[in-house]
Amino acid sequence: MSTPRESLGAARIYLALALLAAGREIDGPSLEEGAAALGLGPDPAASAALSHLVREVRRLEPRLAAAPAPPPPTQVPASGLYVYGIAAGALQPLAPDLRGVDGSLVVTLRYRELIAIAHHSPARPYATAEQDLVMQWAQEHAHVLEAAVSAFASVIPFQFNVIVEDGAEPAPDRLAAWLGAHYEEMQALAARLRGRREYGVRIEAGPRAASPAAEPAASSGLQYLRQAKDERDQARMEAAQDAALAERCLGALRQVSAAVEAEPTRDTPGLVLKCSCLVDAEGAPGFLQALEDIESDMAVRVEVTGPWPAYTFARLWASMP
Amino acid sequence: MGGRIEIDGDNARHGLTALVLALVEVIHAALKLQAVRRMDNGTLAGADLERVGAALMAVEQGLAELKRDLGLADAVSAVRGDLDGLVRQLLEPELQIGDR
Repeated sequence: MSTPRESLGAARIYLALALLAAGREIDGPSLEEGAAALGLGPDPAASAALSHLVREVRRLEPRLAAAPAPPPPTQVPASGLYVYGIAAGALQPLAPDLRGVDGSLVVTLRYRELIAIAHHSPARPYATAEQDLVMQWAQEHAHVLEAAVSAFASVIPFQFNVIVEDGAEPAPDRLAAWLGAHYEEMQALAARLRGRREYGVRIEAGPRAASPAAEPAASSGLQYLRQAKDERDQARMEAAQDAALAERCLGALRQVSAAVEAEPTRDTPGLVLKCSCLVDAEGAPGFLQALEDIESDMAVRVEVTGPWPAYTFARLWASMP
Repeated sequence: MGGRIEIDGDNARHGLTALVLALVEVIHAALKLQAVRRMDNGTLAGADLERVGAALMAVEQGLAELKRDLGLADAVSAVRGDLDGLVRQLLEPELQIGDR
């Protein structure tokens, strides 16, 4: 004899099977929901027991367990993360519609106190033979980092084309692992770069004092070589003067910068100094004034570019990926 | 004989002639420097010194005439600038995004 309770139980079993076939998750609450929809009376205990039973069966019967998985997310699956850089110290939110290389939407991923600025990308590097396209991508990369500098106190910029690929684990996990392994280093670098921007400085010698008058053409081999010697000595003296001048300029720049990194000038005639300077944001007016003073005091020509995110110093002070 | 060799300025810039002249100039400059050093340390003197000097001077004058006749003076100095840049790049690879 079937009691009303048993009939209700049977209905629930059918309901459970129906939900299973439809790929829905079988748990107590969803069974209860379905039961209510069918006009069956509430019986949470029966639903719970039934769903437990179904789960056990699923474990044992792979065929039964092959219910369709939940529908995948609708966006195109990406196979890598293109990373623009690492930031710390949020000042204001990044624009949610910020786009970077190739128009890709920029996302941020947080790992403890560090934030990676990235976009979902194909696994392969961005490459093309078209010069214009390369320039465009480079500008888009730089544009994202410029936005980051306004949004965060510290920005560690990466070079173009740093891409974390999906591997044994998805790219975000691999990036998190890298950040975990380099955490102290990145934090220390972020601290050194906080509130600072990079400037490129190029200093060229002013007009030379008293160049020797052009000599008449040599009339003998001996005279020819003597003139050559004089030219060489003159060039050496000018190089020594430039070196001394470079030292003075460096000294002046170090007074107004957090750090200065000079490049070797490699005998480029007339080039006194080429360097990158890391300057506090508040110190920028003083820095620019110092450049003007250098120009007038030392009779040189100063060219400055920037402010940039601290590409040179990031590369110099930490192991970049 | 006479007559000028007409070479289109554009194709000469990348042309073999300018390159050859530029290389000859580079070699000449190196030889001249070496002669001056040897004059300084006394290992080149007297008649030898005069002979080497006169030969180098003649080459320099010949190069100047060639460049003038072919109208390649600018092209040659451009090639030499490119060569310098190429050497510098090989010695110091640089360039990053945002480079000035």
